[in-house]
Amino acid sequence: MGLRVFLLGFFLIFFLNSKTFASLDDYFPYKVGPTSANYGNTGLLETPNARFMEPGALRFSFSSSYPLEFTSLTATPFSWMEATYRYTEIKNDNYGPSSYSRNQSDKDKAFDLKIRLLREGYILPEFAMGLRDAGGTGKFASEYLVATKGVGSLDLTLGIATGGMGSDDNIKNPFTDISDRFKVRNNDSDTQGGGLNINSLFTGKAALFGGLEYSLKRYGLKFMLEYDTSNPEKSPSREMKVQSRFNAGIKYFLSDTLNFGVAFERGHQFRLSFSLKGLFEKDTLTKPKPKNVIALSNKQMESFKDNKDLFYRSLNKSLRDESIFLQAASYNDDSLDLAIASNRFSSFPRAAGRSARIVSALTPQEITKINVHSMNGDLEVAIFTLDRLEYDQAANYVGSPSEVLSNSKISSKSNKPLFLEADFKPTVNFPEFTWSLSPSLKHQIGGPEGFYLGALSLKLDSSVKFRRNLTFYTSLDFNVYDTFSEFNNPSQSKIPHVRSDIQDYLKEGKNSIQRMQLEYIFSPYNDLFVKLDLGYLEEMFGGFGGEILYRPFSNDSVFGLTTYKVKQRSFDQRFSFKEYTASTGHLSYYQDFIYGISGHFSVGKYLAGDKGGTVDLSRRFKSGFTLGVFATKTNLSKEMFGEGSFDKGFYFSIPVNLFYSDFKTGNISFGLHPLTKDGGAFLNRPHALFGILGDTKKSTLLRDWDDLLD
Amino acid sequence: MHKKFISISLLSSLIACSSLDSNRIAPGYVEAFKSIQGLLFSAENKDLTPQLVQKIPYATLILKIGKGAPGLLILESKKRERTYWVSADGVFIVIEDGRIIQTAGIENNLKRYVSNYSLTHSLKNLDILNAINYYSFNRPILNNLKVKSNFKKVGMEQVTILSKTRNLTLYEETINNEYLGWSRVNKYWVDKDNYVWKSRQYISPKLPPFYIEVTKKPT
Repeated sequence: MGLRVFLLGFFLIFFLNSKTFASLDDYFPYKVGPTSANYGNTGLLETPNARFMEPGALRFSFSSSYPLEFTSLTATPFSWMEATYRYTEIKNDNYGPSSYSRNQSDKDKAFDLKIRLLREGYILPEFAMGLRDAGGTGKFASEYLVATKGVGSLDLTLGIATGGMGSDDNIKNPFTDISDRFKVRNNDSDTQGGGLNINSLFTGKAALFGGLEYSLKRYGLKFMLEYDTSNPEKSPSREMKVQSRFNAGIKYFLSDTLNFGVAFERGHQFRLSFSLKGLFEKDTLTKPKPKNVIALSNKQMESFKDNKDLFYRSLNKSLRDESIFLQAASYNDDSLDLAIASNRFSSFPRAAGRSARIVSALTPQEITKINVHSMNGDLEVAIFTLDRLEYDQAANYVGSPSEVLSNSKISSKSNKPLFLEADFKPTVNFPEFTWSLSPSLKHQIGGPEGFYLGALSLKLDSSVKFRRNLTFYTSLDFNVYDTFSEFNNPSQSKIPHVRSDIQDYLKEGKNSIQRMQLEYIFSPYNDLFVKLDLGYLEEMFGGFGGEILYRPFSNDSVFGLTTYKVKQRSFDQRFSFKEYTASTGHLSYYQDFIYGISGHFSVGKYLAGDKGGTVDLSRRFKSGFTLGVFATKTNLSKEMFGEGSFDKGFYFSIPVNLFYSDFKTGNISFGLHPLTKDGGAFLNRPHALFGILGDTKKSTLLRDWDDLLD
Repeated sequence: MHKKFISISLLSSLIACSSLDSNRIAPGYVEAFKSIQGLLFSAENKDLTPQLVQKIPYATLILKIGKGAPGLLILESKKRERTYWVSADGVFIVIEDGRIIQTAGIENNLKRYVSNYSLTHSLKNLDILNAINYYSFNRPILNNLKVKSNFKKVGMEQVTILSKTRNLTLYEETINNEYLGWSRVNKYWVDKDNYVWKSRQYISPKLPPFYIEVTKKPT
């Protein structure tokens, strides 16, 4: 009866769409938009809707009740795709036997995916399909098709689900008309987890669910009422009575990105929640414009011809005002070559443009070409040959970056950098010593001993540069406080313990040498780069090896080869080694696709001696914000690999630029392997060549070309 | 707004770093700390001195938007009662009768302001109830947002602008749009000739308050 009343009301309103006050709504104090459901994906309370976050958004959600508590991270790599990674605490169930996990409650990891099938139109609602708890243990596995329609301040949702959300069994599963195999759901979950059981999708009982959301925007409030068809009481391990299928809740928006919620669910459960969202598609903070450089008089410019040293010093000084560091310069008859490096601008065209602006103010009109040699570290990565006249016009708003490009050339001579043969080379006193001290956090999340175990330490990073390209790096870690003494879960891995002894490394590796390594990078031929490493390369391995990267400048493809001979370090991470040695190496292929999508494909031998391949797909937004996923499959069987079946994970990287009102290089990166396993393990390599050179291809420089005048 | 949440979460671990050498000790954290300071507390601009204003041969005012750093605007032109002001970083504002009636160069701009009473008229006739004002914006576009306003006289105050102190009368204007729930109080510090030397004005539901101090009055 309840479902019928709900459906009748729903259909009456569903097709009476009218979008009112569209522009006025933009001016409410808070943008009361789509919110996080309990499970982290965009939805109502227990049920999803067809709404999505903005592309390039990242949302952290927390939702607590008894017995289920959800902590999730949701991202939108595309406007039509939403992915959620979630930890569920099942408070009335144990993680394992008390000898293994004491009295810790059960934790379940899960991955959700939602894809938009149709955008909302004037008549038609927005359609989406989704998978809940795909690829996990399947405790909450559900599949659904859902439609949502906005009617003024009301959002109406109706969907059909199978799996956990289909437990109410209030409608015939429409897929059974296609094939009988949809009639019975195979609940035999993969004991190792980690795989997607395609055969069980949209099978078994089905149920119609739905709900409505009403936004009271001037107060930043959203009211929700839903018909929830999940039925967790039927799970053998939990007892959750469903006294009512109607759930109701309120969300309060403290700001555009932060909201708090309270809900009453299943007729007897109260739930508290909050979610925090970051929008990283665009840089919304205004950055400083190029500094105004007053052009010299003709007389002053002429004097530079006779006193080039004075010119170079003036150039050096003006560039420094923009935090651009002159590495070399040559004042020719009709052109000026300068090599620059900057830790302020991540966009090479921006640094080149600002340098050209300064050169133009200091040089006479006879200088018709400005050749900016951009450097990253000690490598020359690109040459911007700019037409001076075209640039000046564009800088004075009589032209555009595209017009400058039409008379410019972007090239590369990585093996013949300007600093080797320039007229002016700033004096650098080698060896050059630098250091910094920062707080550092280490974590272990979701283990049997405790959901979160961590350590706070001080990290002392130092480097000694003996000459260009040859540097000795040291990273020392001094423990301040940790909870790692609670570790009680030694590795049971059947293959060499190259990563799974992480607990021993964390427990014993207090006050340790994280890295102590000599590194040499050079470019023997144009577009070919070589890196050689020797020392304690990472926390768990030391040894020697190298990397070759071939980056054809005008091509979107990059090729790499790594090979290392390493020995496992002792748990205390000081100077001694354990017995295990390994040879590891990979052939890599990097390719840029459309829509900012990049692929990194590698095959080779991993640290534990297993052989296989890794696929890494990521999307980079205009702001530099990057979302990526990776998976590795090797010749290890599921049983040998253990829980999870194969190595996989996700990562995101947020440019620090987005948090500051000035330009800055660097990223805040976060990566997550759901499980620390020995199979498919790479050697950790700081300063990997692709990291230094990946954004220096012609195509990526052209991608940022509009920054030239900014 | 979305920038704030990550910054604020770092605050507790950063306070202790504020007096350390930012080049060596936790450089990233120290930068973040400075950024948070700017977000939570008003930023300063120590370059704005009476000497600087004295040297500039034009009328000037100091504009501060929300918790941003104050910046100097120079009078670009004047047409009857309208004054056009411009900053070095490309912010333009048009002031008429002490009230901001147009802006450019900001993330959300006031394109047009129309009222049935001028500010001066309203200040002289405080018994006017519910003066009607219409605001039009771009990014996003919204035309003729109807805003009611009421004025009241608060009293005399001594106001110091760049070392110069004046006795000014403070008036408060309560503006309100019921549909949006946008209700704010604007403040105007006015001399006996009804010239607005200092003000705090809300010009858009999407923008923080604009603080204006006239440092050199247009002739």
